[in-house]
Amino acid sequence: MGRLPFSQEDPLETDTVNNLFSPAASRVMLLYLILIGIFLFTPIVFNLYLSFSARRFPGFPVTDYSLKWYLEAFHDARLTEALIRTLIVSSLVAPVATLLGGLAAYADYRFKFFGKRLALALGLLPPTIPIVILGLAFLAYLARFNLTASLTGVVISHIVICIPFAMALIRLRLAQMDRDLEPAAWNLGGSQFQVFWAIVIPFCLPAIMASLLLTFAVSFDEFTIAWFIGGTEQTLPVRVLNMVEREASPMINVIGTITFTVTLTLVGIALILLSLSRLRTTRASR
Amino acid sequence: MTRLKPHMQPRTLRRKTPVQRDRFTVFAALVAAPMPLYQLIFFLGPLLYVLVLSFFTVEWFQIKPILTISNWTHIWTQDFFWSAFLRSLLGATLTALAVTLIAFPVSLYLGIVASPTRRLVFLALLITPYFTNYVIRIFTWRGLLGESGPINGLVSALGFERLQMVDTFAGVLVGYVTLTLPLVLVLQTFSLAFVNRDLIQAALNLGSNPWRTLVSVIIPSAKIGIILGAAFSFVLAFGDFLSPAMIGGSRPPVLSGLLVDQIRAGNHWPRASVVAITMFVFLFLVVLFAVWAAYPSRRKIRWRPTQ
Repeated sequence: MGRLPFSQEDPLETDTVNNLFSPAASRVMLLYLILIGIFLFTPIVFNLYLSFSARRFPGFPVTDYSLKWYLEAFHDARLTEALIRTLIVSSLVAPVATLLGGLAAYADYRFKFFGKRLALALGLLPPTIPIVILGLAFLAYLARFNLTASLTGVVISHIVICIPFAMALIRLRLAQMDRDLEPAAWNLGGSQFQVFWAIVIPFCLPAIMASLLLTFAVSFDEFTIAWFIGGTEQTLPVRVLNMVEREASPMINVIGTITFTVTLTLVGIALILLSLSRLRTTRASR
Repeated sequence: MTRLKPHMQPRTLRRKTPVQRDRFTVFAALVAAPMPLYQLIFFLGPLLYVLVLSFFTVEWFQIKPILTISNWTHIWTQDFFWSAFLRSLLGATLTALAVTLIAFPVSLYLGIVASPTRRLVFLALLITPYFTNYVIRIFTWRGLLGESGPINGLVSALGFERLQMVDTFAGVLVGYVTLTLPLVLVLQTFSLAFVNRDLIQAALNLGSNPWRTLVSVIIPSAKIGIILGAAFSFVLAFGDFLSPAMIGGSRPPVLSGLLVDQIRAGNHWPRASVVAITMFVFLFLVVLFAVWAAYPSRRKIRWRPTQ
């Protein structure tokens, strides 16, 4: 993947240095880490807490607990429709982005070809460009092909921003593969495709699953592009944006809590898959 | 394992190797081509189209392909454009500095002091907020920082006057920090985890105190992650329109807010394109500068004595 900012070693496996700071200093640092953690989790926890308030304008502290707004949210047709649209978009984006990103990661791992750096840059650059700029670009460009105000346009654009995540995850997994595995299989008479299918894909399966989950989560949460391009076909995050701007409904807290749980589960499973596969590989190589 | 060069291999083995490692076949083309092709059409295409669009004319709300530089002169001569630019610049610079400083002690703990298991668990916990809906997090921050929010409740309970945090620049910065902190934590932690342990031990053995070790060994070794983290948080804060709109109340607007307004209300896409390209080129230069600052130059490497 060109020049990564880091070496090839596993950043989660390097030793600790326990004689640099005194135990007291280390404890102070741990305390500071917890404070930062609290800062990052404050909006999420507060969101969860307010979602149980029965009032139209939930205040602090909550005095009357109820599940009223959860029921309201489940019966709100516009919300459920938006949720279905989001699920459609994400479940189309995840496999396509994973396929495109995964193939590119393998091409980078295995082959040398003209313009490789440029090709990889095309895949990895989207996150370095502010999403508003991409939003305008997608909107203007897709409007020429009459793909705006449709979910098709949203899917096309989301694939662009999800490819780098898929590429990075699968490329990292490929880096753990023994360089001689494939040549060995070729020597035994396997064709390039057979070896790819029977050896590379099974080896990368944990990363492929992780990539499916992560790209699903990224697309599920994306609101700027979906807002510009979707038009009246609002996805869930866009619906939330509208609610936040116009109504400030307490259902926002409910949606926040639910989406947090969903994304947390997806990212959690992805992390578990990745660390399990790493564990297996390091054990096998020892 | 040392590999024999092809001409040194026994003839039988050479013939039985059907595929050379890097040989470019039809299969290779099928693997290598789809992603660049897709990104060419749907990523580079739109970006180039915006560049062209910025030179198009708008007549009676219709975009005509008649080339003109009037969009550029119109936007670039507006005072509100440059004041929005400066506000974005200030916000992004302060965010990059603040987030780098706030994150560093945490990354130092995770990357150097913590055990590998702790590193994984804490890092996973700290980045989960990044994957939760940003709209909702910002909305909740507005409530938290508001006149009657819990923070002001605490402040007034302690006998102080209630603070104005919503609709202020400081409030916007809280949003930016929420947005960029997790990413910076990851980049810094990884680069600190990669710092050569032998170098740290050598410094300590030679009698260097922790502070000196930190300043002259650890920070220079982790330079790449620290600088790239700052650059990423600069780009993210510069492009974010939600925190200024929701916590800051949008008045006066930042550059990204200006862009969103142009797209939604004005429908004057060529002018919006001018704003977008100005932002893009500026951020590209910032990233280029960051990469130049992060990686040692080729000349320096060439003069380093061979080991």
